[in-house]
Amino acid sequence: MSRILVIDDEAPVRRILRQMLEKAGHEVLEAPDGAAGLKLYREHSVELVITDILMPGKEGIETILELRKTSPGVKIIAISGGGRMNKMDLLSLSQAFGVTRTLAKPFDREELVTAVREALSR
Amino acid sequence: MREKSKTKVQLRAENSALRQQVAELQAAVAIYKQQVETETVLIEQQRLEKALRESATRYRELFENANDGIAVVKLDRTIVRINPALEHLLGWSRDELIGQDYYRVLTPAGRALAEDREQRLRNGEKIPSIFEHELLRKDGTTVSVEGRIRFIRDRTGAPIGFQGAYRDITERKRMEEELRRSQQQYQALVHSIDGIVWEADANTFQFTFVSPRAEQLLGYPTERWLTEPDFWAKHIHSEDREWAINFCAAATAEKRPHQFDYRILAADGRIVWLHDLVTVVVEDGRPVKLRGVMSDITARKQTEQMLQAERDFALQVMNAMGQGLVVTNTDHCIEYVNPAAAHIFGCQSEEVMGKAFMSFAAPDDFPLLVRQAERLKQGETTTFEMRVRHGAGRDIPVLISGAARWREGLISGNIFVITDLTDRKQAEEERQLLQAQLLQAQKLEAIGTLTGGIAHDFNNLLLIMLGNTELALEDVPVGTAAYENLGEVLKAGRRAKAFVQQLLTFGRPHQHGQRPLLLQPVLEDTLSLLRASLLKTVTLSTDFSCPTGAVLADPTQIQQLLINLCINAVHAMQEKGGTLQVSLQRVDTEELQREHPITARPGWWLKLVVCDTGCGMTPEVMKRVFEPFFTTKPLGEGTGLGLAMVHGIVQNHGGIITVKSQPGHGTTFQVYLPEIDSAISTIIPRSSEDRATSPAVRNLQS
Repeated sequence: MSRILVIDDEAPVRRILRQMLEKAGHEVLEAPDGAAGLKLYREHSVELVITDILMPGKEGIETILELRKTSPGVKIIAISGGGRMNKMDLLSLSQAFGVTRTLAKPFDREELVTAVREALSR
Repeated sequence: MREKSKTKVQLRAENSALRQQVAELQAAVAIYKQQVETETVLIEQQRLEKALRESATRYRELFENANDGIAVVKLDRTIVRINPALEHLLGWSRDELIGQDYYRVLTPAGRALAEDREQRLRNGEKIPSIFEHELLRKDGTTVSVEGRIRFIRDRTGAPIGFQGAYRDITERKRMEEELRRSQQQYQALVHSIDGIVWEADANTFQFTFVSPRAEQLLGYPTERWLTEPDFWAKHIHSEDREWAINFCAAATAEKRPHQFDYRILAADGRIVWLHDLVTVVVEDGRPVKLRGVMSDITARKQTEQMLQAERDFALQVMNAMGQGLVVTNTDHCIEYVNPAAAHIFGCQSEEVMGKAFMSFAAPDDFPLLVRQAERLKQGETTTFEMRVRHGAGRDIPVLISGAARWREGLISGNIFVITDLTDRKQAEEERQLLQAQLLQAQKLEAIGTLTGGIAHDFNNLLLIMLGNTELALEDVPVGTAAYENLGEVLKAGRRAKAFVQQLLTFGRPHQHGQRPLLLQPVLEDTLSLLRASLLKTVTLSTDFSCPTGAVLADPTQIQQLLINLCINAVHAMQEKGGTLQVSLQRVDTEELQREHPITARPGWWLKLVVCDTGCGMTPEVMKRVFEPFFTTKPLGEGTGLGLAMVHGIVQNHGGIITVKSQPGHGTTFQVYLPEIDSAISTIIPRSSEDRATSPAVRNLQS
């Protein structure tokens, strides 16, 4: 049972993630962009952040960098459906910035739950 | 006082008696003297007689035992006496000759000589007592003799005969003749030598002999050679004088035969090169004379100087050459390299000499070099690219032009001119890389813009669809229609996910999915998927009956290639319908080139033909058909990427794609992929020549 912050600009995506994570027994906080996400992160004790990469407003990589700056040990899963380049590139890029795991959209519940379990156990 | 007493008469008488006595005594003395004289004469006579007797005996002994033949002849030419030596000399016995005419033992020439002598004698002339002539032997042969004639005279001094002593001089004559001949030979030899035969004093170097050739060769009369003390030294070229004299003096002091070349000034001012071959004559351990032969080597020297100048020039050219030059012998061993070639091999020239040229080939290109050397052996010239070893561990690309090296009508090795292609290749590779990168970047940008934009939203939508379906499935009872329906949504969603995945990964062309592949099954599978989605008005006809080998290919890309070509074909026939023909054939390069005026590597090719009977294309459209984003389809129907992708895939496979079309008469795409042997050599080129003209690049340029 962990508190997980989900940052994604698509509300239906956040909803899916919330349901899947809650069914797996986690508590979920939601933010529609990086700025809101960082604010929530500061206000709550969060064990894992799941963030989209390509978002309007504060962008994913930027958000990751700021999270790393404020709390270096934070566990992050980067998710992406692809972007200006292609999603593999974005995800591998995010890995270079120190995310714990990456997950390509679309993924199913099992893939998500496994990724969360692995990220938390690190 | 008593005498005083004698009388005068007494005295007179005594006086007369005394006188008488004296006279008697004087007479007795005279008689005695006469007696003594007579006795002395007798004794002398006896002594003389004895001496005469002894002399005669001695003479006889001498006569009989003399080595020379002796004959005593009267003035009337009658032979009176001969000695055994003459018997032996002439072969006549004493009995046969005594009493015979002296002329009997004379040859006709001898007789003439004798008559002449007699005549001269009669004229009161003095004649030499020693002369040479020939005597006639009993057996008819002649013998050369030296004769000494001594006249025998009577008491009045008048000659009554002569004694001839004859000495056999056959041997002496022979030796004299031999000497004369040998002298003649020597002279002929000296005259015939095309050089100056000379002799000189070992200390002063003054000539004591020079052959007549000296005058002919240098124009100075021989007297000058012989009389001027410093003739030799004076006429040596000033640049050679000191060392030549020193050299000769040193060798003479060491009693060593020697030879040297120097210049000498001829009488007409010419400078003549001489080769002087000298021997030292040593007597009592000291050098006394020098003998030698001077030969005119001016022409040779001039040729040598000319050759040397040519050699120097050639060497300068070769050293200055930026290209490497290697000269080998028939065993392919290096006999010469210029600095540029040594630089290419990463060694000093000396290290390269004598080594096998083949040993500088990069291991992979060794067979190529051997093949090319074989061609040179046939007298062909050849130009080829290969890699050579540059020092340890590094190979560098070079262009080699080879030609046989001829000597006296035979191949004596090879000459190779080597051009270092490192910079050129690097520039070429960089250019190709940049071009590829540019193309790739353009493509990525294009595809990225398209797929990236779509995919992001698409994947989000798919996540929402799939996620919600998955969640919903948990709430719907299994076995209900809703459960089944949601299951279908999930399946479709997953297919859509795979499709987007494919779309995203396509942007990056690569070869690592390529493997040896038989095309027929892949083509058939792909077509069986396509068949379902074909328009009813389109008939699909296939022909994969031709047996083919494998190609090196990525099955996914081949699938994409065929799908894209078929989609285009079907699109062209959507209005009127028609026939879509897909076939696979095997052709060789010649056939390929008969159909298309392009250059292609030799070997076998698989020819995939996709032919439709659709609307066809105008030449303008055909020109741009492979351009990315070029499309004739209405907005929203086509991306303009299909044929660009096809082109990219063909390129990735080292293949060639051609298109034939006419408006209203359909379109035919022909894709040629190299069969596996050719494919391997394309992917791993044997030489850079192959690399530079690989089909994909050629196609890109065409």
